[in-house]
Amino acid sequence: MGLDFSAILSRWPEFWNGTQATVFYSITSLSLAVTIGLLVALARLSFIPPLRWLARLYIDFVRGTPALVQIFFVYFGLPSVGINLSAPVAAVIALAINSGGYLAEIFRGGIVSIDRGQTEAARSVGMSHWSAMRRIILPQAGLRVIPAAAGEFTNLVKGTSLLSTISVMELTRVAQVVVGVTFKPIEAYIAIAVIYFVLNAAIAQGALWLESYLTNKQGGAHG
Amino acid sequence: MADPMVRIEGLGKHFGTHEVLRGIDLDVEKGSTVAIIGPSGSGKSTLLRCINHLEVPTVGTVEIDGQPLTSSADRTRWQRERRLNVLRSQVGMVFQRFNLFPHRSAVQNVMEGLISVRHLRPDEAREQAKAMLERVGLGNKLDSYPSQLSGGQQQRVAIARALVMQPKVMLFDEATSALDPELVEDVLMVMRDLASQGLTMIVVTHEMGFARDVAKSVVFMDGGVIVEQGPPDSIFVAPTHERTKMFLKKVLHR
Repeated sequence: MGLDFSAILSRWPEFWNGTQATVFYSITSLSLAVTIGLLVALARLSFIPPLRWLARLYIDFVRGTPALVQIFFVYFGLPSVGINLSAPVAAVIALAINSGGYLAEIFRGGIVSIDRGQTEAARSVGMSHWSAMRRIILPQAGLRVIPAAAGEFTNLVKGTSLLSTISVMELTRVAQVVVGVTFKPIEAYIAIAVIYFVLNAAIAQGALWLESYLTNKQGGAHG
Repeated sequence: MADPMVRIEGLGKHFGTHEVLRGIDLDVEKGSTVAIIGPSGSGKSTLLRCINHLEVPTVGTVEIDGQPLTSSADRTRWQRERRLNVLRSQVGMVFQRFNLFPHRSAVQNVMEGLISVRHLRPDEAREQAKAMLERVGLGNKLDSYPSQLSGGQQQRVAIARALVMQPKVMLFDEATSALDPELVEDVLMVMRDLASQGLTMIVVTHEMGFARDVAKSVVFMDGGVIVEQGPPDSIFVAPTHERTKMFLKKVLHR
């Protein structure tokens, strides 16, 4: 058995389009997920009990059910209650809701890991809770959560392959289509595996750079 | 006594069933330095933290220059917080472990309160912060980050951060306990200087020499109560309570 990539290579424009789509869905979902994650993390730490309960419920629900089921729920389920979403919109919403749940816990972990003395020092000069959070706690927590958040971003990129099930033309869907025409499954799946790997390697490297850049900018290693 | 700068009345603090403070009454005169001494676990740090409500007392009241930290007129959490924020900005606090903001340079640490609480323009805030750092002998460390400073330097930045708000009273919570012995003196010198300039200070300390030389009044605490209180001469030379005698014997004859 020899591998023959010529049929795949001749299809590179389709793979290129698929890659762009995968990157697009990853970035849009991530931006939304970061926003959701931050709000939910703050709600989880709020002094208003119902907010805490809702945040907890959301996190447990999202992390306790399969991402594929969540995607099906948004795309196939919501129309039956009158909410019709196009596949791309449903895709971004479902992925963002999913990833936001994981990010919320990552962010919460980062926030509570900051020494209590930081909050006390900020409050002792008269800063409000929110001001201390925004100016003192979050910048430090942000730096600390980069490795874990990058891991979640990687999961999100891989998770976009689930969108193939609702006919979004991302990488995995492209590979399926190409296989149907060329009958070269090994080559096609090796090709997209390499592309996913390169994307995620770039994220890992980018996260390391960002971490060291911000660490230097904040005056080197902290105690 | 004229109106005190700090008035503490009937203060008590429980953590669950554990009573840390019981019925504390204490007046601190304007412009005076009060040293609080006592064995560990006596409640002295908790008392200090109750003064600016970093620790919310279970019972009792605290007034700063006649203004209570809590008022029944405040109905919402927002109103209570607002009152606390205003009063806290008039009370400086220095912590045992400095608690500088590690992501901010020395001058940015000192500017923080001026910008986010007093809403000064950055250039004005920087000028004031710079002057304050010069006053504590760190005019050449403006742009250093906390991780690049010694413990003594960090603590002086922390003092500048509190002082720049022009507080009515300064609280020192074992400010020299985490320092290497050779750095303690730098910080004590700054504190002596402040006391001589008439700043009202409440100092929880293990530095008996400092308490004796600088404090106008010494408060000995044990078991969550004030056991005795008086000028340093009477507390250190002729303590009346057995517990005070035992404690002083331990710390003075090391």
